Amino acid sequence: MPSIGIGGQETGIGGNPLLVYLNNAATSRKKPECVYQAMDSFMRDVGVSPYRSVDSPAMEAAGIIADARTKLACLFGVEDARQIVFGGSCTEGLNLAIKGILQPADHVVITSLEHNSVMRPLSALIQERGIAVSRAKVDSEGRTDMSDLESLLTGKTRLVVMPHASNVTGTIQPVEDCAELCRRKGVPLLVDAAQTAGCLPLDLGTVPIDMLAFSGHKGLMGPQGVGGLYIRKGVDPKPLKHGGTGSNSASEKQPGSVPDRYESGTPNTPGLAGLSAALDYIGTVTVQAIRAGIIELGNIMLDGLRGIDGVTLHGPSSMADNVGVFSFTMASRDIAEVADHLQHRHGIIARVGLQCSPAAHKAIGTFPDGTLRVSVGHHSMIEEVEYFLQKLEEM
Amino acid sequence: MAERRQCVVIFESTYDATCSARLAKNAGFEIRMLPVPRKLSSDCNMGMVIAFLDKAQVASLLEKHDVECRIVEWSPE
Ligand SMILES: Cc1ncc(COP(=O)(O)O)c(C=O)c1O
Repeated sequence: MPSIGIGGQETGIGGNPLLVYLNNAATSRKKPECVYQAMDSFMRDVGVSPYRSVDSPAMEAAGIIADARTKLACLFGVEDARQIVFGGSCTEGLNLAIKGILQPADHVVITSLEHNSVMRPLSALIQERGIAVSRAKVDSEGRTDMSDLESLLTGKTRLVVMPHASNVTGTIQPVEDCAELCRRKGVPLLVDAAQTAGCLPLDLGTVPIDMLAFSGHKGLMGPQGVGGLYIRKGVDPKPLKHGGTGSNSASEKQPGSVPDRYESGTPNTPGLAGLSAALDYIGTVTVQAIRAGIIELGNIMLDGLRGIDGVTLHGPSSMADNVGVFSFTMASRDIAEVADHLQHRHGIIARVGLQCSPAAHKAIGTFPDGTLRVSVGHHSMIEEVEYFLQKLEEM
Repeated sequence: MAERRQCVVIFESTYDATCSARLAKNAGFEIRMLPVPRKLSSDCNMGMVIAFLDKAQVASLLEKHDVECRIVEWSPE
């Protein structure tokens, strides 16, 4: 394994700084080779805007985006790819859903685990539209209490929001039950799939979710700067942005047809070329196999963390309920110092603090200090997990 | 005498235009994408030229795929 280099940092093969990346919940650092190639090839060989002309490069650019849309629809079990709206991030998808659906004085029910990309749009709407927000409780492993959630629904509830899995505890949420409940009560459900798209199977053909926000750069293994929202037919949020689409150009009004209605402005075609290639890769490997790999790594992580003195794990005790995210604190240790040591001495990249989710930390009792979070992904290796566990134990 | 008239398919969305070009090509129709002639419409930048005689078949193909469009007769100048 690594040796200690000048300055006290361990070095990897060839004397390069060792980099053990355990922050996959933030973004997947390593992408399939085809992602780099697709982006490079788009930039060099195509390079034009889609929809703004009909020459062959423009049609190729348009085709790349259509492909990405179709492949993502297929991955999510969505019949009509028009229901997939692309944008710059999962945050943008969540903003579109939340701001596009909620009207003055509406009520919304959320879980206690929401990321700030849900909490902040809601806070803005509390100010601007006088909406009311209720939060369903979670148990000690970060699982939403569905009977509490149901008890919060009122005649004024216009939206329910739930993450598919928490970015703090990794806990997979009961989205199937929640979708059933929302369908029964006639309330639209928005699912935040930032942590799960590409690494946890979900079939929107059978689970009646109304809107699902996704991040293109985490489990989907595309580049940063792509994400979006699935919108079920018949659900009609107001557009978040207005502008040129290349369609209905005679009108100064936003077009009504999807996805154009929600996709103003020149799209991130290089990013979508990368996402499209990543979706090919995922299609070949399969989400089921990706999930199995993460479970294998996660079991090693869980066993290892449990065996280290002073470590308290804040999350599920079994990988059956965990997407691959592990949050912990350490008795009488400052977790920021631990993170700094791991990074500076051993090249281990983890994430410390509140992970943009103060609400979730309040719910699990780790606010305001937060936790040290390590998260594995498809490209993580058993050796990396074991190396991290060894260095943590030595501290 | 050869049929010289053509038709232009005018789409509601860019996604539909993109997919329709592929659908029609894959189904063996001779098509060409063009900026919609101004005398036909100023609605959309992306149009698809088809042979006049293919109009009904292309229409039914696109309808099968829920494509929102109009098909307009066109005689190029
Ligand atoms: C649960 C959750 N929701 C939303 C987001 C926002 O994703 P993005 O940064 O791609 O907009 C994240 C990112 O960390 C997340 O973990």
